[in-house]
Amino acid sequence: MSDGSGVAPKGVKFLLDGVEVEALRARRSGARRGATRPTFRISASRRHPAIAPTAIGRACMVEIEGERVLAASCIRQPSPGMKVQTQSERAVANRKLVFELLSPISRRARKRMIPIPNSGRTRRASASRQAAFAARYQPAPDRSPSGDGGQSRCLHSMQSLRPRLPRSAGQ
Amino acid sequence: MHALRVGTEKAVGLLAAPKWDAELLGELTRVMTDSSICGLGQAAIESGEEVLKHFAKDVS
Repeated sequence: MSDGSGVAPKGVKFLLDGVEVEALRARRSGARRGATRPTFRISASRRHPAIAPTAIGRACMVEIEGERVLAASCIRQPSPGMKVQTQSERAVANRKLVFELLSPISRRARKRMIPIPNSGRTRRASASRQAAFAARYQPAPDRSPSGDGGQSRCLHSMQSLRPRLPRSAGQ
Repeated sequence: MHALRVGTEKAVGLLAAPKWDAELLGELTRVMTDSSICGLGQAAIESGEEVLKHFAKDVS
């Protein structure tokens, strides 16, 4: 790929699950997108109203060596030498529970939910765990005008605030 | 999903039970700590975790 000057742009090399990959600087690519082969697929889940592509879905969390908390790979820019683990026990458990937490979202939002291909195992919590949650937790009725539990307002808020927020180590 | 918004609602439900589900609460703690965008979400459930750590006999 060339930028027109005849000099090929240098990419950012980093380790993704132990494999060295290169992400192009020209693209606004997240840490996960630098892979030449996908290690896990979550793109279809972006259609879920609660997992909009604004880094608040938290369904694409990956572990980056040396960082205290997990990072959202959809917005995290790779840096040279970064070591990203997508399949570590911590990252996998985290993504699994994020989807589990999404399950009892408002009834109207659930109706708009589009099935996530090949992910039934991760999204659907076991019956016993769902029962444990259900027995102790009754969600409050959704009174938001949009009927999505206020997600659209949250998204708008995040989108308007994000450019002004300083980038922290975990973002 | 906001891990803070959804997670705290779940936590309230779990903490309101006479006997706490320590395993489930532990998993919720981990996902909130790791996934929350803000500091409040990362720290909100720490109090419950501390109670489990120091007063486990009283709640389970």
